[in-house]
Amino acid sequence: MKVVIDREKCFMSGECYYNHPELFKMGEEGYPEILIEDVTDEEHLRHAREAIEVCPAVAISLTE
Amino acid sequence: MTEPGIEGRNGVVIARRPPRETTPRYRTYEVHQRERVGESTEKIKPIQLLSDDYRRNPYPLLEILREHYPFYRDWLGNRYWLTPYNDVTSVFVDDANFETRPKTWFYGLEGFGRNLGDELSVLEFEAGHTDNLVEGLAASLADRLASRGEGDIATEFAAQLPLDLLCEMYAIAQEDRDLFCKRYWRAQRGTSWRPDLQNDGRQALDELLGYFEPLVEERRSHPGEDLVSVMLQHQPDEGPVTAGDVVVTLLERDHETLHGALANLWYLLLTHPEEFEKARSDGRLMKLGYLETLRHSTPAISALRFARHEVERFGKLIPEGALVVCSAGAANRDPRVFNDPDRFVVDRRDLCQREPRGQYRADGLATGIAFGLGKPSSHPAIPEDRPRSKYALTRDTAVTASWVLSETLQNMSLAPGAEPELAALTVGEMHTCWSLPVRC
Amino acid sequence: MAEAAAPSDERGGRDLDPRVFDSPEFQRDPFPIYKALRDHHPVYHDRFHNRWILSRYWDVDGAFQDNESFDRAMYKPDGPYKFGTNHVFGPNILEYGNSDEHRRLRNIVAGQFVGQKLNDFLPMIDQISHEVIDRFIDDGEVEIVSQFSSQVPIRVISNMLGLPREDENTFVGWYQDLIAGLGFGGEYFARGLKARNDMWDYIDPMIEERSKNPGEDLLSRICVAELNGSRMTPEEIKGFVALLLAAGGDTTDKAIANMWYHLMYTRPDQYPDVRDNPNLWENVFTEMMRYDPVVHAQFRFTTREVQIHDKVIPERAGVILYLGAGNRDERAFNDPDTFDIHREDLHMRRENRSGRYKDGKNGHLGFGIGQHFCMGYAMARQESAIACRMLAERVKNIRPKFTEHDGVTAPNIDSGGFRAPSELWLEFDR
Repeated sequence: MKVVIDREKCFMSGECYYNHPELFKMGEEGYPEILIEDVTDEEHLRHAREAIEVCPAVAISLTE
Repeated sequence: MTEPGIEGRNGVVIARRPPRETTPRYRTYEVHQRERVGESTEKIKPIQLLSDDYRRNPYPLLEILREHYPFYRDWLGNRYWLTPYNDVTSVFVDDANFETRPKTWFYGLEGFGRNLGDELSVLEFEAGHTDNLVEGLAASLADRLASRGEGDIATEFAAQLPLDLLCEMYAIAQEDRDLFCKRYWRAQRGTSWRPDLQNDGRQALDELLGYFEPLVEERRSHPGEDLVSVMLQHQPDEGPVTAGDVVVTLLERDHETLHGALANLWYLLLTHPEEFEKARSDGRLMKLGYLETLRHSTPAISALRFARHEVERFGKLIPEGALVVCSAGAANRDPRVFNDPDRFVVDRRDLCQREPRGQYRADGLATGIAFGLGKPSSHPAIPEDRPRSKYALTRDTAVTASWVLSETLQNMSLAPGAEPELAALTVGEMHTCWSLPVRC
Repeated sequence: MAEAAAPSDERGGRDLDPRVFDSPEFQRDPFPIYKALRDHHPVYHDRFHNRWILSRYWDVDGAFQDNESFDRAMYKPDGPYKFGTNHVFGPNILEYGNSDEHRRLRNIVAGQFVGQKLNDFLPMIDQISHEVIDRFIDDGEVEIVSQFSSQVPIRVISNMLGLPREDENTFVGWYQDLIAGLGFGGEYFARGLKARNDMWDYIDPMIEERSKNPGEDLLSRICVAELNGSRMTPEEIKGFVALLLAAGGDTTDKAIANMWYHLMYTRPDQYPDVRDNPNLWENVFTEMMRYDPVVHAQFRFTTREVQIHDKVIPERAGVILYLGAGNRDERAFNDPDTFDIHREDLHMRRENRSGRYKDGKNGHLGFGIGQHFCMGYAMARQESAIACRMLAERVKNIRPKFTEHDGVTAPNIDSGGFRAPSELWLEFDR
């Protein structure tokens, strides 16, 4: 599974990297960067799903 | 205000315009924001334009707008107000940028039917029959008042005459007339912003549809000398005429114009005895009195236009879909166009006596903006075989009826103690006189 | 014969009179009208004010998210409009709608109010709160609105911007006038413009200075921020600062006052819980944002024809989203008219976007969702919670001074601004 961030929608609320440092870190200009390219670990998937849920910009998604 | 105008070559008095301001009235949007501080709206609050004061007497508020905020952004009502005479007429003729919307749009009933009111056969029928009918109808109403020695011009004459005309033209059976008129009136008022009137109007439209459905079938097989039969002979491309079309045509009539203008004319005449003397002395002066009424106290106080697309006008950018309230009431009292505009003068010399043609000024004079609201008729009286425009038809009807009334009731005067006033029933509706008791 | 007023319909059903939105009753207590809207007119066409109204939770939430159909700006961003000409703040991101400009400007500062950046500011919020409390702590009573809630946030935001601390009192006056100027004109608009011009005169030399020698503060960051290779114009910077002062100041100000009002008058029985467990201040904040948020309405324009339920809203029509109404929607919350800081069906964690979370709880609509989600949301709740906690910790037995209170009210219809109590007197022991 891949985590995709839509930079068109993202407005750097910081929720993802603030709550889920395992998966995200703050990158240039405050946009999140994804630390793990291919997410397979169940624990990481849980983090990804939570990040999708809390993102107020609705900018994160998971794809195959 | 009262200083005389400039006398023109043909004896016509032209309005004396106030000195040109040193700064232009309008600036373009490039103007730096900081310079716009002077355009703040300290002198008026938008809520006043929705208030009871506006409903009763809009003119003081409209004057503030016209003199200080000629193109006013009303944040509360989510609309723009346009008030100077020349600007208002410029929007009326600007079909490329601004559109009117039919009454069915305000009802949200756009598929209800088609408006056949502008079809030539309909116009011809209306013009011919109105001329034949109006004298007789007006005389019978006037006689009724005369025999009683008292009465109410607003309700028993001005409001009644258009309904009588309508019933005759549609050939409504005598026993149905009362109900028909009530439904018609409810349907007209239902275009208001008020939800109770809207619901009532919608119901009235359904009732009218129920009434006309059998009638349409009957007249389709047995055509008569009436407006419904004339409409049924019409063959539109989109299919035969239905009862819905008849109802919509009825709804789209400019109802206010005859009723409101008659009531306002008589209100003004009765409250200005000197002018009344002038008007009753000559049929031509009665016509001028009517034209002056449309200027001084137009029943249709404003017209709604919607911007077709984003357009820059009057120093502001108007967003697509924006509602622009073109205030005929304000424009008609514009001192740049009319001398001493708040005075009612029957034989006003700076008022055009001909039918308005958009921004073109016949004789170099401006007209009062009223129904048809300054827009040239889609069926002007040229070439000659065309029927008269609706404007001319309404004007002639009102003048003839008023002449009959003043001839029949020679000693008419306001009932003692009566204090008639002009007001709209709700903000935005027809501004007219609702009670005008007289003795005769 | 003239009718002065429409007959009122007690059920609020078929015939809801749009004039009610201008009435003092609506300013004080809009909730019965909200209920009538939700139950009978989920898509209400208010022809009196030429606008449409959405009031149900899921409709409001949907409109917030549907940036394709609902635009914040009334002008097209690519049109000839010069932004700021109609706005009391000057050109600012609120006017840019759903455009790239909006995102560019927003993202310059969005990162400043969250995460580690926010944490760095927390000690400063502590310190400012203490200073403000010190001024009245010996009096034994306090008028929360003028002495406390309106003092803290403006000092915090001007401190973040790096403006001189000695001028803070001046900023308080400016931002109050700016907020009032957001209303419907009249003298408020004139005062708002004057405040803006005064502020611009004050801030002009600072912008010049910090563009050359940027420091660590927010103003420097705004001055030198480069996105797509260009800096903001001085006009844009000033519009931005006006927005930050007003939006970052006034909303939090009113939030603090509303929190104290509801704890003192609406649910005094729950105050001991909060006093004993200061972590619950965040719950107070969240429930306040649901029950009676500072901002009750957001305006949008449709970019195309939108069908909602059985109604069709035409293109380029004005739409009001009553989030205050959506928050009381029975379809989203049980027993919505009860203020309860232990509420189990409201998402209480620090994320406050609207819509449903996976645990089945709904977030309040107070901050919105999507492109225009409140960028100061984390800051607002931290600041409010900290300031309230400080006050609660430093006093004992805090209680209302008067048993009667006018309640939370919206400002005068002509002025802009947000719902809050006009004053709130509290007594306490040391």
